[in-house]
Amino acid sequence: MFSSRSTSDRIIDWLITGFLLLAGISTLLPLVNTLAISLSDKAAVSGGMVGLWPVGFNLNSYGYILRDDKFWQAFGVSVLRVVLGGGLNFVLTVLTAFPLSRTVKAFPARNFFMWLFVFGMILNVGIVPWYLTISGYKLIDTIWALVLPGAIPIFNVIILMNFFRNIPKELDEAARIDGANPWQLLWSVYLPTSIPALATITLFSIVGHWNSFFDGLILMNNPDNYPLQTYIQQLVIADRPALHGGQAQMLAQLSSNTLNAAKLFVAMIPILLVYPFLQRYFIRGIMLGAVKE
Amino acid sequence: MIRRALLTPVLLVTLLAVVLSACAGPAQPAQAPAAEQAAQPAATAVPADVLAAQPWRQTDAYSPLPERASLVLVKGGQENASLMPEGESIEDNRALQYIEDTLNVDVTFAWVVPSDSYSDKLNLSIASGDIPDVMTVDAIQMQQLTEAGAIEDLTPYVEKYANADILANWEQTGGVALQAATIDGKIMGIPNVQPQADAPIMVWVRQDWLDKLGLAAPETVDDVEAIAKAFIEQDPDGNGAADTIGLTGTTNPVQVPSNLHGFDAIFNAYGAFPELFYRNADGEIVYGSIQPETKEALTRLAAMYQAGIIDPEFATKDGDKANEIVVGGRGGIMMGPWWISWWPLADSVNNDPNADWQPFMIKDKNGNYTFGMGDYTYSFVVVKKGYPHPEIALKILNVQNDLSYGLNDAPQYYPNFNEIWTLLFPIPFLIEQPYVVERMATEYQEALDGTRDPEAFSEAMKLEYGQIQSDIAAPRSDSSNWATRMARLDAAKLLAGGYDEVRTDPVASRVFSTDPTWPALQKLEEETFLQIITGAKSIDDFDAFVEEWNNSGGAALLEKMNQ
Amino acid sequence: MFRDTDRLAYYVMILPGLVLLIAFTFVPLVYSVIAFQKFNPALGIQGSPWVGLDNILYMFSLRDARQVFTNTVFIATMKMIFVLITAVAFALLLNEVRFLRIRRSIQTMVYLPHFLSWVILAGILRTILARDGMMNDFLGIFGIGPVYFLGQPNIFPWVIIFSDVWKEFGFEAIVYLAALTAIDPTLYEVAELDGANRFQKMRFISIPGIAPVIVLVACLSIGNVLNAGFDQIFNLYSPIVYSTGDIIDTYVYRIGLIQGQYSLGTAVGLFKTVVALLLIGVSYWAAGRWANYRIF
Repeated sequence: MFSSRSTSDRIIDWLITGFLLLAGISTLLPLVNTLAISLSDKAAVSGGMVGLWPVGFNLNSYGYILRDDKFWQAFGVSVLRVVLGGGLNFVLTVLTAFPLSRTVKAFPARNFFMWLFVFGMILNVGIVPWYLTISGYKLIDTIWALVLPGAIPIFNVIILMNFFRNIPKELDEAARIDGANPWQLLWSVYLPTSIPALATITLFSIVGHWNSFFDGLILMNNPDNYPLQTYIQQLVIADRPALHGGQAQMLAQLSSNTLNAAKLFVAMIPILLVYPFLQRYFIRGIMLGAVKE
Repeated sequence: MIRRALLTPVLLVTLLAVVLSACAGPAQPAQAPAAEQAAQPAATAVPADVLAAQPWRQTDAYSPLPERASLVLVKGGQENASLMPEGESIEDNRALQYIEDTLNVDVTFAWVVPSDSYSDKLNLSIASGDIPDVMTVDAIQMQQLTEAGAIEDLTPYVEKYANADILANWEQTGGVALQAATIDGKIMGIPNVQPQADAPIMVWVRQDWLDKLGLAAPETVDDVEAIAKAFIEQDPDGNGAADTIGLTGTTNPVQVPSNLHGFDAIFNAYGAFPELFYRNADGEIVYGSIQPETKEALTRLAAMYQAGIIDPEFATKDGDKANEIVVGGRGGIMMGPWWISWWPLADSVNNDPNADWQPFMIKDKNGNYTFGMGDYTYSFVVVKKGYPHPEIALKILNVQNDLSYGLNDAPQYYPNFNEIWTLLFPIPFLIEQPYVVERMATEYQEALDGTRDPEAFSEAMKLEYGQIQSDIAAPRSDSSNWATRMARLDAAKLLAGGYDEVRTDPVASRVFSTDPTWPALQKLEEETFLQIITGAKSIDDFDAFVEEWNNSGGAALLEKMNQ
Repeated sequence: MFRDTDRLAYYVMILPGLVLLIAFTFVPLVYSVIAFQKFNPALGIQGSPWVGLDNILYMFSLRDARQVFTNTVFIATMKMIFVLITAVAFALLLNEVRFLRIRRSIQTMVYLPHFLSWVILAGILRTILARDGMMNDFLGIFGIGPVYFLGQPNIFPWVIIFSDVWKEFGFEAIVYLAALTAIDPTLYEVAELDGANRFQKMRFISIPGIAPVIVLVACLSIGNVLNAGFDQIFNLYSPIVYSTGDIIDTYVYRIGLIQGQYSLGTAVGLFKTVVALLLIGVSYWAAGRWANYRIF
């Protein structure tokens, strides 16, 4: 559309493009560095010689992880919480968003509940009462402690509710005339038309569950119940090696640096796998949620 | 310092490595035959013929519970579970079974966590009001639980059910141990007794590196600095890279006892005793961290840091990160107590059989060896209120003592008992003779000199003596033989050679550690010391720190103490 | 049309969510009364003695409490400012890139850190910010350093701020990019006919075009002034940087749960809750007033 472009304009175009590409690539450099370390020889790593390309390429770290029961146990806990937590989030979000998307005429208590949920969303009580509550329910050391406290993601409810409200009323009324009750209406009209929004909120909750570590840290007493992020947090950040005893032999081939880098990378893989979907749907989601005008 | 010991990661590691002086057991049986005691109801688990043959089983200290009872415990050490023998676990092992059968009790664990998480997890359990039947706590937790009325008063049980060894070991602290466990005239917990040898911090240096660079053994702080400088600059490992760290350190520059990678010895060499409450020349109780000598020592440490002698990143490193330096062959100096040859230095020898670590003590400016000593006692076993058999805690400790020392026919199942005892025992807890380490070193030396008959040693000591002899014959061919020799003989002998001690006042340390203002004072101190050493604050800020410490409640507490 | 059975269905639908909301949000609010007690877990809420405002007053007298409050506000505010500036600048520049595929690739790259947890990112940061890490190697080329990024109190907050920018700027740019695409293209064409150059177009069309979104984001940020990022700081800090890096959330965690000062921890947390509620109220009001925004 811009046919006549001056040379200087083109140069600026290239400069901007180049600059942004550089910025984009440097955003990823730390991740590349981690990958390179995980694939490098331990001597090269402790000598600080590894940059963006592995030095002394080997797969020892990954081989070690494959045989590391604790890692996979934690991985399993994470998968379980994603499935249970994500599923519960989905059902509850839909069930809560639908009545809230009704008019006050159809559902007189709608505004009251709306305010209650919004208040619940912005109310963030301190960690001590929160812990006392959950331990009071005897949920400590059960998977439910990771699933139930966040089972109703109110932000997602609001996104979905707004989406429901934008569905044309005609669809609604047509179904009504056919004698559909609210359950049928939700099931056969609203859900099928809301696939993109549902995909968005589901991805939101999956990523949230996968990434959270703190609830695992304080609500799980038994380290066998740690989800993967908590396991990694204890290992890499809090520096509590789970491998004493075998450590001496292990150190002959690996250092905790290379091994930790490999664990960080393996923990990233699920996110990298869903990243294409994330990118598509999250962007839509943030538009739905943040800039509703 | 004192009770912080339990709160910090190092201690439980200590417990593991400190290797229950499974030795030096007193020659006489722990308990006199049960003549004076009325017979207890027979236990279901112990057959009558055994009872007849082993009358000690019917004494107060060992009598089985009348009916099988359950006991819920909690435990650290999960990270070392892989050290357990094939087919055994923390939850199920022969030592535990022996205890269960002897006392007619079923032990279960509400949770088993890594050692460093134990205290945090226990605090969470206390917060949730869901505590185990018996647990090991620190002074603050004991105080809180007592105020809460959540634990049993053990006064009626302690004297009656502790066996003779344990009573004697408490006795040897001059009554300090039981006094520390007493709140408002009631004994609320069973106190530990820490071997005193754990407090002095030695400097361990790689002799092979010293020889290679033609350096003499260190005697003073100046020597340590010179050696560290040479190690950094002269490539002692000959790998052609300037990758050697001088002096290692962690986020805990000071901590009594057993501070791995701690700078305590350097403070002590300046006549500074940070984190201790001791009486000065005027007989007043003072706090070591705010004394001018501490400022001098900090000045020196800051200069060493500035010169690159101390690991530039020590202030953000935990023990394990610092261990990696010495185990990985990137450092040739490590500060620590007598037992660090077992852990982590044995791993260093495993990786590199040339790593000839030797312990040395540092002289202070007057040419003496002087060390700050913490409390004998800083942790306690307590029993949940309402547990029907509060005496079981004492009985378990008695049986554990037998298992450790091979008394009362307790079976010796494990050749590597010293490395795994904290995992085997349901309540890993030391009530030791305060000077047992020094005494054993002397006895081993006498045996080597031929003035003592090693055949008279207990089974456990014979095993260690054999390890010592093997390593003398073929140095460092086996890392655990080497570790035992270094700890039990070379390092412990240095301690047996004598040193002066500056001892913390047990009352003052307890009053401070349970005061509500203490955590904030401590945070201020930790932060200030680290910042001064790393140069983020100048040494002149020390005076501001002292003023702030005094104004934030420290001075008032000291004044109260001195009245 | 609006049958009672319908209403019943709505109540049934909302019930599970409501129960969980009450159980995990409002019940903890009840537990917050321990801020006014000398709470003792063994005695429970009913048995613990009441102390009125003692804990609150004690909190105000604590140097640490004042310090973490200041740290929190500073770090949170700086994060917002720098993320906002970077995101807007990025969006404006990206809008100038004409090759769609390059544009997409750049977006793919910069969004990624947003989806990774702070545990992972902190693990990575600890490696690259170490003395022999990539960042110091890079600075070494210019003769700077080595810098002790995670151990210097005066540098640590900026590590937190800029690592947050790294994680979030790309993602926040999404809303600005959306706003830019919503600008009527004819505006640019007209400006071009008038001889406007690239920067004039940016200055007089693009920026005014996204100004309402900037105002909106800024308004909504007010509610987050007390959230400096627990996950991030918890995984990067250590005692040496407490003086500048300790924030309300990490402090409450340490004193309230780990040191067992339950009532003090709750008091500090409650104080934060109350101030945060006020701030969120203000932010919604401001967003409604200046950006015509309603949450529902």
